Amino acid sequence: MSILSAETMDTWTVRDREIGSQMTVLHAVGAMIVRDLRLILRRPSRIAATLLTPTLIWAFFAAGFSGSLGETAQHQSAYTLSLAAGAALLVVTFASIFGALGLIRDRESGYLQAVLVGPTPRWAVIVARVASGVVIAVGQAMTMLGAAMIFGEGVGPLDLAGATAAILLTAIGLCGACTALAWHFRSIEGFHGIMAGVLLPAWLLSGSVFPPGESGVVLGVLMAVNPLTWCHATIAGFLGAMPLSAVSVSLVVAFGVFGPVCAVTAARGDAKR
Amino acid sequence: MSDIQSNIEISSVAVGASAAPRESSHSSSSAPFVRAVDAIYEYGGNRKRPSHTIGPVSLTVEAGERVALVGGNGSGKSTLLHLLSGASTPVVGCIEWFGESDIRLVRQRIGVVFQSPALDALLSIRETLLLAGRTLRMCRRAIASRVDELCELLSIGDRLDDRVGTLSGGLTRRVDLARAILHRPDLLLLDEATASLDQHSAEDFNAALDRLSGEGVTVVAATHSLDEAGLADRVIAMKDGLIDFDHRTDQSNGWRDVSHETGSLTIVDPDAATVSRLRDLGVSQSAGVNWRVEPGQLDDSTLGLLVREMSSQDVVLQRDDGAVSTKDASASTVERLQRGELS
Repeated sequence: MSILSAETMDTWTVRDREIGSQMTVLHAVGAMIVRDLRLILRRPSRIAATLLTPTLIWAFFAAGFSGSLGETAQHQSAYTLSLAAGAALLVVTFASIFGALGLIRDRESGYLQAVLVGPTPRWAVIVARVASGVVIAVGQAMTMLGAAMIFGEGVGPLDLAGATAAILLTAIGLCGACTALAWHFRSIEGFHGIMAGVLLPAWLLSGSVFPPGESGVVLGVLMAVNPLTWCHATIAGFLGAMPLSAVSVSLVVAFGVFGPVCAVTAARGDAKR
Repeated sequence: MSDIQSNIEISSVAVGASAAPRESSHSSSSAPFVRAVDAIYEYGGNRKRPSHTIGPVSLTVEAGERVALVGGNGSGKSTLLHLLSGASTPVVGCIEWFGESDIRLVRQRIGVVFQSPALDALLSIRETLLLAGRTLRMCRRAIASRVDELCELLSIGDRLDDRVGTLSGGLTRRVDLARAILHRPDLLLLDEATASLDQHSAEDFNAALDRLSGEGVTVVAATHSLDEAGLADRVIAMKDGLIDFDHRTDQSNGWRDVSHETGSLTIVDPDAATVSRLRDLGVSQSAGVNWRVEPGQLDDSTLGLLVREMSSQDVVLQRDDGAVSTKDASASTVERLQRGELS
């Protein structure tokens, strides 16, 4: 006679499943972040594409405008640092865009669907996507900050830490916002419209290229309501390119909260449909 | 729309030996594995005026069944599978899984293979399965142990560290199947999983499915292949978003029972067209007006197809055990499939 009855065996099977379901969802989030990072590292062209454009823009603008902007070396240094902050912001913008395109690609390829029919909750998928985007964005933006330390005068470790924190919050906000937008797109082509019509103009109007005070009324309003303007002002403020304001720091913190909330809300709303 | 009731609910009925519900690892509840009740799904267009609708669809799938979902492009097979997988929610009606109406409670018991492989070309098979295991919320040890089992079941062990992008279509499909069954699901849903495979790869894939089915996994597979439909215990045909017919194949005078191991098969007094077909297949005339397929003369797949063809044409077949085929409801089913009305 068997020691284990059929009922006991059945209960064990159920218990095994319960143990499985108790595995923290953070393991799933961690695995998805590792997956995204692996895919990035195995696609060097994506890293190059993210870094190359901001570097060239920084180099060309800094070289082109250095002679005409200011009479003093101090003005030129401030502009160079402001451009460095702008280049770092552009790196974060590109990383967020690529992250969003990756999400759409995952949807097209069926990977996202395969994960969503599993036991991992949607919010975990979103958190993983935003987190991996943030890691990539901050890692790449740090190269710009490193260059800023080389070219900028008087940028100390504390300034760098402040700027890094600002970039981190910017990346969280921007990756969250891009993920929220991308969640509703079924094709990469559709998101290109958002990229060309919203995200890149938002960067151009962030003060990265020209300061807000020197633009017209309409541009001034657009720049004032543009979250990237506050992000740029905060990063540049920490680098010493312009005065640091408590208002811009607060708005960047708020943006860092707003982005992920948008993303999770978008995913939850989609689940209800 | 045919005269066959489009909105039919098949309750649990006793089925023949070939389709008997198998022992399964699901809990002791007697609830059906999947039950759709008057489910309607709308998509395309806008919410007020959707361009496509499927349903109302009602069906019940019992434990251990192997169900083939057939029908032409746009007939609603994939949408129905999406509903059954919980990837989509019906606007009207409901779907229940293992007696639960909340899919979140049972997601761990369902595996899904979608139309295109949900795999990253840049990850290795091992990395892919580890990632899948983690998103299925399995612990590392359980994943490692299960990967070993799947390597044997699906013959993927020697390529475990190769990137998915370097694999053949057939092997990629098997990896996708491994991903879907990593957590030992009780219910496996497949959406035209062999559509892009050559015959050999499709046979390998179906052999793996046979083994899973033999282990008690309930399988619902959308397919265009008549051969694959013939392997199922039950065929559900979709047309214009509705169930056109729902038929258990064990009632169909031996679709599944005939193989070269069951002995010879006699084709009784075939007409000229059938004789021509038999000659094409290399079958020879025996005595009198009858023709005879000897054991091993045809492979099982060809033999199965032949039996279905003969049945649909009202040709009388006789097995060694004396069983004689008769044209029944299944024959009209096959006939319609052959006419291409459903493909």
